Amino acid sequence: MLINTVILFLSNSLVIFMVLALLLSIKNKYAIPTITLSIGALLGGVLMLILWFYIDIISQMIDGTGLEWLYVSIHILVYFLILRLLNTSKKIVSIQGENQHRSSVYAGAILALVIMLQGTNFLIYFIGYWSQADVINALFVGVVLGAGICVSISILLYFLCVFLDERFYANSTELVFILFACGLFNKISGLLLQIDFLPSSSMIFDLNFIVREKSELGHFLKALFGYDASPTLLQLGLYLIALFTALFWHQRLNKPWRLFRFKEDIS
Amino acid sequence: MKNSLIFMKKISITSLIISLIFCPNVWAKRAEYTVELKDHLFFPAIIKIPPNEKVKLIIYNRDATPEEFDSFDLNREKVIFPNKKAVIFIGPLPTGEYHFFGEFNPNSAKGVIVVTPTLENQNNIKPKTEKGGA
Repeated sequence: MLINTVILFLSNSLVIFMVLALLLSIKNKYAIPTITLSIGALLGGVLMLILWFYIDIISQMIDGTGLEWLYVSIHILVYFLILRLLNTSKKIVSIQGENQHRSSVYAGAILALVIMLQGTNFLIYFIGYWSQADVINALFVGVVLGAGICVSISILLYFLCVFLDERFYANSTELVFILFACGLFNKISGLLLQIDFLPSSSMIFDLNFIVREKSELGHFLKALFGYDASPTLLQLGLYLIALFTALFWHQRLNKPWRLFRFKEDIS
Repeated sequence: MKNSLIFMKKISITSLIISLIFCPNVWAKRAEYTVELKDHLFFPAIIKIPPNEKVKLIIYNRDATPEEFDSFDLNREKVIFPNKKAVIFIGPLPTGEYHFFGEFNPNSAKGVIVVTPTLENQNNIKPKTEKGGA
């Protein structure tokens, strides 16, 4: 029970700690107020409790596919919010104005939605088994251990992003954030396949012999980039579409023919 | 010029949504297989399905605690709430064995989906209906 709790905590909560680390890296660079992230985290906790309260009802909707549709919608929303945040943040560097407020809202919303999405699953397990007197200690210790591992990984990720930004490429955190957003977006293909909305196809390659998807490294890569050791052509295609869309969206403001937009904004 | 671009964009998005809604997958009827979860055990623990065919798996959770159906082999993951059912589509799969388990109780809740062309009589199968198909 103890090991199972640690594994479940890691697989569900690592994404939350990673998004927090990435937002904190961007916070320093683009001055996102700490209060926004705190409100986002608080709101995420409240939304998580609300979703937990109604989740069994939602799961039975649309012939038992309600939960998948909800998760698909929120994953798409978070993907676009991350893209908007990165785009708005780029403008802030140049103009320092009204967009700062908008960017803060995006950052808070991303954190809140990710906490709601990822936290609910663990909450179902935690509360579901809390009533069993013989497992309370294992649950509690498992959560403490899992939280410790997640905090350690997120601190390492934070310093890695800061290091890469300063030493190698100034937009390294943004690139990691884009890959993170694509990983989240890629989850929708699995959800839609599961409810028979998308056609199934056989996997195109299997990387389990290099990094096993359910190993420690596999969990880390899955949380950070949406790593899938045996993707289908459809999953790979969706991931690449999401990646190229994100890169195009992010890079278009850098193009010289777009410079007039900055000048307009400044004036 | 700008208006026509926006119009084209709207048309593309609308056609994408319509094609997704009306794609044959959404309306296709599949053979249904029912599985029950009781005392953290799957019944039946061995499910035989035909090869190269997508099937609908309906899992009923008869326990008082939630469970998460998980399978690395099938790449499926879904929470089943107490006294509720969950629906998962699997396949089409080549012949072989595909293991699944309950993520909240991995030591007891275990099962295997056997994809075989020679199906023995199983009482948990509901054949697919006439209309539809994909």
